[in-house]
Amino acid sequence: MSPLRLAERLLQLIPVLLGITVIVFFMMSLTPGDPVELMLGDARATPELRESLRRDMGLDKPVHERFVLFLGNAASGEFGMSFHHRRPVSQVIWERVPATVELTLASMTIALVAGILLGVLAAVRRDGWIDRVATVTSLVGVSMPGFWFGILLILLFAVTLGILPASGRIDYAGEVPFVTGLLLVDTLLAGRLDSFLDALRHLILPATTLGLAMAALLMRVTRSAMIEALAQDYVTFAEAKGLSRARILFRHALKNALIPTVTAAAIETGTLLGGNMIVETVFGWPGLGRLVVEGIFTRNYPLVQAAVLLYAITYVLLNLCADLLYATFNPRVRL
Amino acid sequence: MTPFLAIRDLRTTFHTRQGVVRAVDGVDLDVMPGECLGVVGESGSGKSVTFLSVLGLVKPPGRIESGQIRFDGRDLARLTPTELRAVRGRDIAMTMQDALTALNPALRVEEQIVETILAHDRLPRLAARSKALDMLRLLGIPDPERRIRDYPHQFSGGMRQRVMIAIALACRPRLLIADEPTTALDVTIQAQVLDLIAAMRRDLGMSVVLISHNLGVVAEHCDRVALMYAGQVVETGPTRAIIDRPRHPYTQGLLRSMPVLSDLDRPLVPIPGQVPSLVDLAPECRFLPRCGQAAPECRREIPLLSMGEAHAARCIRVAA
Repeated sequence: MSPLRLAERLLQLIPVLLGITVIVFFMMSLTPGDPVELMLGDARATPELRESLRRDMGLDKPVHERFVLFLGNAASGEFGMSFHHRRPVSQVIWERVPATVELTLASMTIALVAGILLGVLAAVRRDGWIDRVATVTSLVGVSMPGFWFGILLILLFAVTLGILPASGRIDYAGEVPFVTGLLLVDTLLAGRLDSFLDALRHLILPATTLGLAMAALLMRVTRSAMIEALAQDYVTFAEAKGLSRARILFRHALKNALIPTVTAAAIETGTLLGGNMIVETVFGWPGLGRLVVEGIFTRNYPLVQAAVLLYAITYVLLNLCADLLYATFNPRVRL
Repeated sequence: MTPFLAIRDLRTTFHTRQGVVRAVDGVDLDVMPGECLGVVGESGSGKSVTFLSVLGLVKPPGRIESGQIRFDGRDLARLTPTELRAVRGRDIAMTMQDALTALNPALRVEEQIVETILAHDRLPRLAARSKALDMLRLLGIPDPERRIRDYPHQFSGGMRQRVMIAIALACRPRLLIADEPTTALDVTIQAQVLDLIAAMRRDLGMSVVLISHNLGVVAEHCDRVALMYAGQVVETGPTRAIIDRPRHPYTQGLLRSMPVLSDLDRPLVPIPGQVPSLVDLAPECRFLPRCGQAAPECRREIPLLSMGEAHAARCIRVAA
């Protein structure tokens, strides 16, 4: 893609994001429940106190004025104070981003490796037992709700077997200095192999829970794309050239089969963001998803607005990524 | 002269839900060193499956039921997959009907030709690349240093066909099986590609099997012709003999249905009826339902009957 075309694509994001902002802002305002009431919690606060709190939080102004203010501030990266934390929203959010990024990357890795490998195997041994097992598993994986699967995993591995932790990111004893915020990286940078393994153990269950649905989807996409690719003339021609089976499978067929798979993966990563909220809550994972869920319960308008905007930007960028990857894997496409 | 490739009583079947399809049913064919053999027949006559069988490329539900494929003192039908892989591309190469689908759209031409060379020769990558460039140059692809970096879709139809032939010939095989090399091409480019294959045959001293549904194309380029119908060879012989004295009613019908430039007033006569289903064939002449000269004696298995000069036809009239 030419730099000019890329800039054009990025400019196209602005109206999309503006639209999302409008929806999020007014949806939050329409939701029943008053943050002031929720914050004070009891009836003894005087009406004057309520009023002054309302003014502090900027809730005394009419909704359209608040929206204009919000837009102006958001454009300069300023999202106001989190009601609950009494700290700038941007600061509260950035603290939580690395945990979510780490969880998402781990889930994606699991989903890509498991999904593509099983998809290829199922396609090559079409209608064999691997294919049947993988197809049934993927059906279960797609249908099973994340929170339920997560609880099952906790019950089995944390409660019954006691071999993996049920919640959190790392034991307190293993804490390491903040560098990237990704514990798997930071522990290695600090030279703490014990902490690394501990962080890894904490990551396994939530990442598996989150990655399962995506793995199932990628397996199905890869399987059908591989079956299609293996029936093409270029595979017969590659065989007639005397190439090895491995080269035909992994270079000739898979390179073509990955076109839909990679596109699906990039788009599906957006779905992972949504899954984060549930999985982080189930596993007590201190990430953005759980922060947002808490924010919604406490009517923490500024926090939720900023977080949703961040999700939206990520989602839209992931779609752009999908297009770029599609072009990389498919030389016939010029963006 | 001993044949270089000898197919004897080859039977390839496809086991489908409708029954057993006898795609190749007792085919005998010889290819002599350096010759060009034309194999002619309509779709479903078994001409492509015969040569896919030679390379062991028939995929399930198809399989080689019986027969021998003698090549170089070995029976290709009995080789292990690894042994067969060493023959493919190195001793016997194949090109396909449409280069657009035969070339991998996601890989550069460079990779597709270099990997063929490296599959058979232990060479440094750079040496393989320069061999690849030589091959592209030999096939008349302009500016090969630049074009080798392109993807198949960036070539024109004729150039793409040349690229495919270059890949097939990259290891200098002794036999090229060209499956419908011109069908996907414009008429003007067809002649170029056929001349190119003829030139390569001379330059590399290889044998060529030209598979086509077009008797005209084959007649112009081949020393000998074999006509296939419903999984069997129905007539075989030197090209001249087949054109001048066709003995099988199918061959005669094909020739009558072909336009001749020198005699455009001659009416074209199509062959009535259609190719029979290859499931549950009765033991009789397969051309019987479409034959204008059928007799009661045709209701039995007819062998290929020789008329001398290596000319033979599967018709009772030959004996008479």
